[in-house]
Amino acid sequence: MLFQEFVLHNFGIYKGRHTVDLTTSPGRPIVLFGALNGSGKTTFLDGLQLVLYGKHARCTGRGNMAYPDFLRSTINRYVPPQEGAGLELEFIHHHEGKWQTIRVIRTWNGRHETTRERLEVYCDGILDAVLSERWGEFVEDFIPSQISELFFFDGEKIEALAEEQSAAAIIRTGIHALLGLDVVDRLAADIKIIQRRRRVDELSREAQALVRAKHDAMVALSDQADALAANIEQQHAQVEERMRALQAIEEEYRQQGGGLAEQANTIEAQLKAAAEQKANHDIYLRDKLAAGHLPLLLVEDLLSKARTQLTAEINAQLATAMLSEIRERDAQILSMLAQSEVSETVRRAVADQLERDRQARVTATQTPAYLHMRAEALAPYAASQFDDLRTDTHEALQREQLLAERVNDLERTKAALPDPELLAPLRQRLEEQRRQYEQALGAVALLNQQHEDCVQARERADRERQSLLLELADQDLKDKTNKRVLRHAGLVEQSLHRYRDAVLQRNVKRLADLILESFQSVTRKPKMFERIEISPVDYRLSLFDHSGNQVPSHQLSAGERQLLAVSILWGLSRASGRSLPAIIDTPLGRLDGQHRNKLVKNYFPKASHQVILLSTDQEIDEDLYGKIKRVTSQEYLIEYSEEKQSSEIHEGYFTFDEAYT
Amino acid sequence: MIIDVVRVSEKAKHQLLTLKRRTGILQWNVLCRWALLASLAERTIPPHEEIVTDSNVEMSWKTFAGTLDDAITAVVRQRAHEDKVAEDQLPQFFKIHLHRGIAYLLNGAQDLRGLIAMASGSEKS
Repeated sequence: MLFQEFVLHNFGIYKGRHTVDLTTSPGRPIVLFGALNGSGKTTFLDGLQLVLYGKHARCTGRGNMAYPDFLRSTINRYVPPQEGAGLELEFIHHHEGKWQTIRVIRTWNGRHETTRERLEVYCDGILDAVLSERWGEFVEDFIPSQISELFFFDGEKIEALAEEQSAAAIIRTGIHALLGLDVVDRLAADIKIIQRRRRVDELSREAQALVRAKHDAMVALSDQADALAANIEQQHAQVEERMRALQAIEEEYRQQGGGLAEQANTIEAQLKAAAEQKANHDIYLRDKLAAGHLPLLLVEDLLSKARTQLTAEINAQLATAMLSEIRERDAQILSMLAQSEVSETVRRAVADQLERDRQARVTATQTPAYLHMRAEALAPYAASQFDDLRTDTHEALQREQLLAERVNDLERTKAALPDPELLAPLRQRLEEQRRQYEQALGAVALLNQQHEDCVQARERADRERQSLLLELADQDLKDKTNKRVLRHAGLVEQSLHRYRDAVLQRNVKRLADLILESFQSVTRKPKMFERIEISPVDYRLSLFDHSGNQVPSHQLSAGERQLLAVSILWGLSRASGRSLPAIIDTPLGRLDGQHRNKLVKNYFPKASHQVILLSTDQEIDEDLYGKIKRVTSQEYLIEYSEEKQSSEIHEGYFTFDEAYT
Repeated sequence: MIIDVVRVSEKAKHQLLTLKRRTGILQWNVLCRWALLASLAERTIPPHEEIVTDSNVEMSWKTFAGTLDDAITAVVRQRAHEDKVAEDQLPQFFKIHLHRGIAYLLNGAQDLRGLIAMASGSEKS
């Protein structure tokens, strides 16, 4: 990774836009900035960190300030806050075998109560929305924030790093981040979480108890159902027995005329109706027929003779009445004939005829009379009338017979009817038997219902038990998996520990060597320490002299501690193997001339492939400048201008006129 | 009218009571009519008999004959003529036929049906 260009806009002491070219050429890794105190060196360093890490940047002077407030405070105090401020950093980065140009633009303004920043990331000149959105995560790929301290450091504070505690902390951070041990630690932590989670899923005793309870309930229900089934069987036998008894008694009842007895009322009514009909007919026979003309049939012939006699008697009466009249007329006729010229023969013939007629009439008058009745007295008794009467009577008698037979039949039937009182006990027994039979049937139905309920309850219990079992089997499986996972997690944890220990052991040794080597290359007393040890447990740095005695760090001078700190950082950055630019603010603070020379000669050109030095004129002075000039690609002078109320960055370094004069 | 009042003997009365019971016919006159005609239908001449008509059963001719007055008179006279019974013997003739008829009915009619069957000449019971 190489910084290409850095732009500050209304940032801190820098009013307006300031663009700095940071490109370096091969063999000349240093970009040198010269600045007097208060010109904005530290602001420059803060800007670099801020543009990369935003709210996670470890800027000086932020303290506990909230990020938006801090942002607001960074806006140049001579511009209106709404004009805002901004930082831009362009760097190239090796990614998947290609160089990428990344430009990060972070802007903000104080227009509103809460300052909001805006971040744009361009990749090869194109705004990358994803990169912009999630820069906080991506930046870790470019420069992990954890190790940024190793590359962005302030020489004034670096001395503190030599303290045992701080050294341990930075070494720890460095080792962990650089060696990827943080990944191991995170893995171990994850395993712990997994272990904790898995332990929660333990087989519930309650559930097992529930299964047992369900099983017991099912067995109990099964027993109950069986008992009920047996009971039903028994009850069925009873029902059949009762049915047979009922059939027997029904048969008996039938034989005893029980069926007829139930018809008694009908027969009674029929008999009554038939008897009534017959009585009515008898009244007809008695009052109409017997009291009427019927008995005359007995004397039909007498009556017939009487009728003939009566006619004869009437005729005799007539003849008697007419005879004298007829005699006179006959005499008149004969005398008339005698006087006329009628022949004797004719006269005699007429006379004979008249004589015979009179004689017949005389005979008629001689008919004996004994009836002495009116002529029409017997008129109603003609033969035809008797025939009709005889026919009617015949029919009436037939009807009488039918009615009599019917009455007779019904009476016989009625007579055959069993005595209800005789049947009563039998009937009672029948009803009792029937009642018992129905009771038995009811009992069976009830039992059947109970049995069905029982079977259903058992099936339900069974189903519930099954599903519980399945659930438990599931849980069991889970449990086994849990156990396996826990066992493996434990193994992994152990492996991780061993791995971690091994890696630490190795790297701690290597780091110690690198630190020693670095220290020896910058110190004027290379033999000061024989060896350096770093504890793999607490990362404490131990220094040993040639006699093998440990040298406590507080016995070192301030300069020596600074050198040790630089060595530590250098060692770490070398150990990390990352090609990140190094930015060193106030690099030579308290060092003496020899040490400065050593640093300039041995450290700065090797600290990284791109080294940004922010120096005062007292640090990289004319002498050192002459020595470092060979390896610088860019030189800048940061000067504060009262006129412009801003620091300005110009090309070139301090001019040491006085020294030349 | 052959006689003024129809009377029967004590014996005949009892016989009539029996017939009343058997046939259900409650009128003396109806039963007596049947008796007289039943006897007249029988061709034999009833033997001469002194019958004392001392019972309390008595009825006027009009009650006895009813609507059959002419027919009964005709058949009595016809039979009397045939049997050469003199006019003054008619009450006696009537009486013996009546009583013989009652006896006939008693023998021939066990019930109303039997009585009617006697007249209609149909099945006897």
